[in-house]
Amino acid sequence: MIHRKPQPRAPSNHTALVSLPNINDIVTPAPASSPQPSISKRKFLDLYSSSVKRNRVLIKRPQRDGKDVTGENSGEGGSGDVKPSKQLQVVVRSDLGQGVKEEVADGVEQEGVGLGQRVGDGNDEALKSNLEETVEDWSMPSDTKIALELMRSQFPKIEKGSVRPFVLRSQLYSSVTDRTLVDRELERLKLERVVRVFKLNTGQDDYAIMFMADYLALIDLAKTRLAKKHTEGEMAVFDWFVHHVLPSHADAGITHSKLVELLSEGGDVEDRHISLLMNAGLLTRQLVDSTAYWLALPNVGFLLKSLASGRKEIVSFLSRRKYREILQVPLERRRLQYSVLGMRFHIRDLLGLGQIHTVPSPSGPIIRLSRD
Amino acid sequence: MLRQLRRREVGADNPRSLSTHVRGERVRQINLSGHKEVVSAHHSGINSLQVDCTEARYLLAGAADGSVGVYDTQQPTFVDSALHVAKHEALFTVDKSVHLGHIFSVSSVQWYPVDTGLFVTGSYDKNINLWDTNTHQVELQFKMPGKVYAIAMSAMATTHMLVAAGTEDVRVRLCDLATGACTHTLSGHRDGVWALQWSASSEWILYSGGCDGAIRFWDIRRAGCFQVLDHNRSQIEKRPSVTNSASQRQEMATATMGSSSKVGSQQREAKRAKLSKGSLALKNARAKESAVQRQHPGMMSANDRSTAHNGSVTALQTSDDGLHLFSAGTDSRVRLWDIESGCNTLVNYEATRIRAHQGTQLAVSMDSSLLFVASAHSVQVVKSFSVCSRISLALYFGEIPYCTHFPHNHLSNIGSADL
Repeated sequence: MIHRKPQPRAPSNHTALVSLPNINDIVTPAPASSPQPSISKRKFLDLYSSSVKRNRVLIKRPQRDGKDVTGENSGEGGSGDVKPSKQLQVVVRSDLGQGVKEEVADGVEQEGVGLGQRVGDGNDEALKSNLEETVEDWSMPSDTKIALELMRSQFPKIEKGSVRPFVLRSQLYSSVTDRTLVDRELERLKLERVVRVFKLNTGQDDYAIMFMADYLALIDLAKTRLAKKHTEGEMAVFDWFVHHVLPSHADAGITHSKLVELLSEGGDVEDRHISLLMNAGLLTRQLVDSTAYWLALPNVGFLLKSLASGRKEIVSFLSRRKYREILQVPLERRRLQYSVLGMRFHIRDLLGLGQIHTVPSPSGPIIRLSRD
Repeated sequence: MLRQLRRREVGADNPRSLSTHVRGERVRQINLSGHKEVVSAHHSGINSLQVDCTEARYLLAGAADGSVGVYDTQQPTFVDSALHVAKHEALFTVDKSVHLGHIFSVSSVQWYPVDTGLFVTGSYDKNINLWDTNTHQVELQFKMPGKVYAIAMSAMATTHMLVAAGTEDVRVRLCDLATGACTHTLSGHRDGVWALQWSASSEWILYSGGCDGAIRFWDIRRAGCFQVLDHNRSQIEKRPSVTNSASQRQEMATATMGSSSKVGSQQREAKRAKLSKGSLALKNARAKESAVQRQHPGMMSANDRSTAHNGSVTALQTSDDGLHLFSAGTDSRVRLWDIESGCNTLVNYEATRIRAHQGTQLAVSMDSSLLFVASAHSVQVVKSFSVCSRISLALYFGEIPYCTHFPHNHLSNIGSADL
């Protein structure tokens, strides 16, 4: 087992990712919004053995790679006592985008201080009581959830203020090996209202996944932008939308009748309310079916254009090369001319779509265009 | 292997288990056959293939130039002893020179399920022909309103001889071979129908998949379709409880009923005017209209616009036990549905690039463990129910529109555009 204390890094200019992380070696530090409590290595091992039966996801995976939230901090305290389990390999990698790094590092250090004290006391009773508390409300997050949080934290920084991070479904497919599992876990997350799935208009099967908190923030932004020109009565529709439509309808699309029915629970619905939602960018009419709408992300148009042109750029770049391939490392160092989303985002997306694939080689992984 | 044979001999093993095991092993090692070749008598690509289910011997092929050929897959016509290749040539072909033969491309062919004395073909010249195999003549011809994309006959029908026809017209027609007339017209799709499949468990149930992305289940004894598959409704390893699904369907039915009479009767502006009266008026209006229901109960499902695929549905295939339905669509997805509950089981088959302008075919192995999908230039073999491991078979140069797998003699026949 490898424990590494994260050195607080001096902010560096280059985006740190030399190779795409495989989901199995990632440990995500707790992002600011997640409510997961801190946990020591010993606690984690105890919980793991008890949660193996509870969580089927764990059993199916061939390689047991554990996830430890603050393993690096308690490792020094508890490493002497804990027997290394063959199956668990806790690898810490603090590989973050710049924006999230500082707050996470702070959080981690604070928790480390607290835990170090507790473990240093050598008081098993305190540990056990903490264990009781945390067992009930802590459950091993699924592969998909970890991948989502990782990719959300690695979303490229864009100067425009109204952009919130989202993850494409194809990126999830490239990170987690079993696609059926991804689909099912995503369905569960949708039903628990943790994430929201939106259909994009860039292709026939493109979906964007966004955490609920980000989506609500986007709605607020849209609301404030329109508040100046509309009356109170009309602005109420945003509240109805958030409180009545979002909790009961988890799909990406909604029919007109269902929308009206759900909004009516908040108050009298008129056609101008729905027009207001459409002006805000939260609803788009479906092209195929004139009486249904897609739930949409406001102000995301230029990102979608970036997505489409970035995909095209990478694919055309690879197809112009002699053998339609390139080593992954130099590819990631290149800058994209037509996309603000960054090379790493596009590579993951294209891998998930199946248009490119990686081939191992002695000099590193090679990215090759898939034969059509 | 020898040990298994020995055990079966002394009675330690069930004979059935040995045969399924051997079959499964052989299917898993499927590969392009080097010593058997079917020599195509057609001058253009093949659109449809079928091996007959009674004897598993005769292969029927329909091509894009309007010709239909029958091949014997067991008896070669010519054996090249130097290369050890057995060539099978056509026993006979029928094309436009035959009276009432097809002029344009033949889109689908099927043997008469009872024996190989008859076969049915559908073509882009808007006709469905019933041929006699021995006399090579057209016995019956049905005229359809549009190009015929798919035909299907039920393999287990004992009381009817209906041919289901999917055309570019939105209605599915059932033609009776005994009387020579069209008996049923099934309405509900909003665009052409590309895929048709009869149920493997009931002779009355038909599944159809259309260009609009919807898959509908029809019971031909009743009016209207009784289920429309929706890819958002999913189940994770367990069917949803009966009360849950029943209430869902009821709420969908009332919602569609409310909207249907409005949409059917008035323009959008009038609908908006009604809405602006407020929610109370809305509820009154809905109650009023449901009381004055003008719609036939069979047509209610026409307003259910759920789609099974984001693009068009190109192929349907039932598993042998009749519990599952595979569907392939132009959004490059192959989906597995639980027929009983009508839910998407969320099994994901990896990137199958399906680009089609007409219906294609999926094939499933006998114990439903393997699925053969024709994607861009190869046939992919995937495990049906579990984590898929994709084995890609030999590449062809043209597009592959059709593949059928017949497990009895472990021959998988694949038709391609330049075969």
